[in-house]
Amino acid sequence: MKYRVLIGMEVHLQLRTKSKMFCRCPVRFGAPPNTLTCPVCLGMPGALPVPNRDAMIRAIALARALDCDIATDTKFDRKNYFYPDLPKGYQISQFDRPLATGGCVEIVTEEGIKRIRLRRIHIEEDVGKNIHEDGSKLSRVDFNRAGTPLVEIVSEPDIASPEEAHKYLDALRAVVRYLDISDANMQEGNLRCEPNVNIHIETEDGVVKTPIVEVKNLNSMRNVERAAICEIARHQELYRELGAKVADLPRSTCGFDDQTDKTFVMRQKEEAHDYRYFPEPDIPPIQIGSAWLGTANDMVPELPRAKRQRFADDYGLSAYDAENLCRERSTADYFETVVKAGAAAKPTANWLLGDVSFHAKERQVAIAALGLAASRLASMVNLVEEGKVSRKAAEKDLLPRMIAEGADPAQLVTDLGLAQVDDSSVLEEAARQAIAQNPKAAADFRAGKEKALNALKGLVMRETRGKANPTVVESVLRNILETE
Amino acid sequence: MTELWQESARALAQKVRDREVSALDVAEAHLARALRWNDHVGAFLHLEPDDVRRQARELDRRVAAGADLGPLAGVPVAIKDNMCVTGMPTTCASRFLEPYESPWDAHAITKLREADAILFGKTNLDEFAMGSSTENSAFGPTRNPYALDRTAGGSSGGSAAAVAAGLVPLALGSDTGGSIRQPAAFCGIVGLKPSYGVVSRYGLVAFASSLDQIGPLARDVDDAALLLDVIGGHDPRDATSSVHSLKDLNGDVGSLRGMRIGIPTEYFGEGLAPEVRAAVGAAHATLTGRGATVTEVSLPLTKFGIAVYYIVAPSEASSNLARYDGVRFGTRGDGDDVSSMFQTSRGDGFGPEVKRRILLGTFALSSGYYDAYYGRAQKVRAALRAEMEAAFDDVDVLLTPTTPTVAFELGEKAQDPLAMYLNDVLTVSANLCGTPAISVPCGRSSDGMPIGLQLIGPRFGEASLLRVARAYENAAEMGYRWPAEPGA
Ligand SMILES: [Zn+2]
Repeated sequence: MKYRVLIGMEVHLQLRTKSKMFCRCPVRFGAPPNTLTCPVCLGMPGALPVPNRDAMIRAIALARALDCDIATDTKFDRKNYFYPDLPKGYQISQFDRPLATGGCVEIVTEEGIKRIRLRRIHIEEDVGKNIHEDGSKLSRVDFNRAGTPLVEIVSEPDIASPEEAHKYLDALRAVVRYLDISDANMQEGNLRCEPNVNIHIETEDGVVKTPIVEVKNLNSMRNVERAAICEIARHQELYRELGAKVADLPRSTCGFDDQTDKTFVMRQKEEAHDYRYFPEPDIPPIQIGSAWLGTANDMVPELPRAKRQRFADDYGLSAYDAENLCRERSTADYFETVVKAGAAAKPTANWLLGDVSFHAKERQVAIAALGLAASRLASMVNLVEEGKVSRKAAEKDLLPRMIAEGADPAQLVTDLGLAQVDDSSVLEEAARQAIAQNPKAAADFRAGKEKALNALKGLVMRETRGKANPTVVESVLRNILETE
Repeated sequence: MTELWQESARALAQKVRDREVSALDVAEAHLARALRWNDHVGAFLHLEPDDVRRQARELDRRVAAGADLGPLAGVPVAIKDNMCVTGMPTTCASRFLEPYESPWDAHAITKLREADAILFGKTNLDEFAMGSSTENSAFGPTRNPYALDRTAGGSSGGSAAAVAAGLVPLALGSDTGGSIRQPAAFCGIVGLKPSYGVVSRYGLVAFASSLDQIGPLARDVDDAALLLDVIGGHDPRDATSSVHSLKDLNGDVGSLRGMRIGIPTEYFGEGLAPEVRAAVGAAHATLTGRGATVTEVSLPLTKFGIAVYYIVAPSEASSNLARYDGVRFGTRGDGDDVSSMFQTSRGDGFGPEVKRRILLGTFALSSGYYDAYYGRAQKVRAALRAEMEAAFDDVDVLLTPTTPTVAFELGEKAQDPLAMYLNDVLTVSANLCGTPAISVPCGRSSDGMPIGLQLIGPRFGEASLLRVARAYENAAEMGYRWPAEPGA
């Protein structure tokens, strides 16, 4: 079966603002139920919404960062439906004049940079949370979240594989975190996404399009990928069963069960709501003028794309390293501070993406938040590069102590007696001993077996208890074996 | 001798400030009259004498302490029961909100408190302000003080009847399609709908957000201006509140020389009662006598006003009333699941007219019908507004009747929604266009029922509107005719 995968992504992003979208209640996670509420976000009779300027500006900054066309005139609309967590019986959203249209998210694929086009970005308010107690007929509603500013980012169906879906979310999240406008954490629900998946199958009679399925309840990027894989397989199966008739199936909404790793159909689109959108009469249309645009522009820093390019150009890093370093703005900034403190770029990148990253993950913090002073790390990188301490010793003895105790690496080298032996006269004696202990290896090397040198190197390292500088050891051994 | 309850708000505030009378004296005089009259007219839904006395005593303590007093010092003000007032119920004359008490004050109420007014009680209305006769109140109709078998008008019927009968000198009403002006006309008092955005809607329970406006009801133009001055002004909690500040609301009467008054012919068509036509015609002459020039103008789109209004208002209402679901406040119905709980809460809580309008609005906004109804209505509304604005290039105010007839009998139109809707034909344009309009008494019918004339001004043209109204009131020299004692 020859087919093409089409995935469009709807992302809801909670903006991190001081107050909610249409009232002055604080935006905070984890407060006791209904303590962050007021007449406006509870939808009490007579209460009126007033748009939050800060949220508008953050959303405009995001639109700027994603190269969208920002509307000069925009407005809010009401999306009407009944649900207990929806206090007013309508959600204030945007319908036909969204904040921004167009733009794109860039992802890095094996074929290079791919642009996933965006359809629109709009602002709306979040709903409350229904809390169902097991075994009880009672449901409770917590309105703390109601009215939290949300940005909805809708992509074109340009995403061509589950892997690209993951990359899209990764790239989008990176931009959002660079702007520092949201925590963009899927587990905490401040980034929610609903992929729209279908496949176009090439047949002898033309292209057969399977009906679009929207997948909900995805709480991790990995699940987004798994759900997409699952749906693609299901669509192929449907085509095998129904042939071209598959195109006549209605659009549907699916859920994803991460226990069974399966999607399941929740409802068919025929039962879909008529939301009766109409312009929100409580909020006059909004003109986005130069003042707002200026403030939003000032919020947009050097973005991952530009930073990646610069890291590759200025520091000679590989595309892979540059991408990984630039995923979090704080890591990229930290990298540059270490380099400015005098460390070479490539080994610094290796350390950051290797051992330092390992420690950060273990402690569940960002690299920049490890408490590792950039100047100390720079000095450690240099000690290794200059051959004053072995890489292994740095990895095992220096780095953990530097992180745990804030220790100075040079001091540690002295205190722990880790200084590398690179005095060739000292090493020469150890080398001769090694050759004497393993004459076969010496003979093999002389006979052209390069690898045989490793056995001799190992003996020298053991003799010097790992303090020998491996580069010096090798040259000393070569010198003896090749000239004597 | 003039009784305290017959005094104007201006005179009462002056007397309290001058310590000529105490706020408690003022309160008692009005309480005595209100308690006697209310059983007959049904003006108040909530009237708690002890609470009124408590407010008055508190004010008297401040008077004694030499405090600076506000412009409404000691003046009893009645409040239409669709505005949020702490310490009183806010029912909107609906079963659904019967148990509801707002934990916060509407902006207009905060302003009244700051002005040292006495919040006298909550007045009757058509449920959620939907109606033109107060017969849609879940708690019984308001009767016209001049003929108890007739309507006081609506939806601010309770406020109009209370002011007309001297139960209070001032009241707040709300006007979505004529709900201040029509009852004012029916009860022979002054009712002003300000320009959209002049009075904050924060705390006014929404009926149709793009049309609703709070305004004063009073027995003369100066009292209405005084109350407007207190409640008007920008409020950051209402995004539609205007930053435009009203000036010179209390200007002197003077001459109307140079004032251009337009008579829109479309407002004098079929269905206008001859006595109303004659009374309004006489008003032209009075105004001309004051130096104004009166010219005929044409507003041909006026005839679409009612159709546009009865699409826009129910559409917004259908959404505004969605919050009454039984989850957070008000009446909660029984039900095995959420959806049946919604159904019983709303089914039992709302009266027939409210349900009718929710259905109308839901239909007009439905996918597939939106363009034909709501979308088109908005386009006609924009055209109507443009036409109205253009008219004000040539004239300063428009003069029309407020209602086609005098107050009708209770029950007369209750079974015929369409006939009831047509009662708003002369008043809805001002709401659709956001312009200020005032109803001023201009005579009586042969059977003694009040007739009102309406003056419509350009948006934020309250000052000139009030100037013409005041000039007319002065020149007409009608005086105030008190209703006969009930049961007498
Ligand atoms: Zn709130």
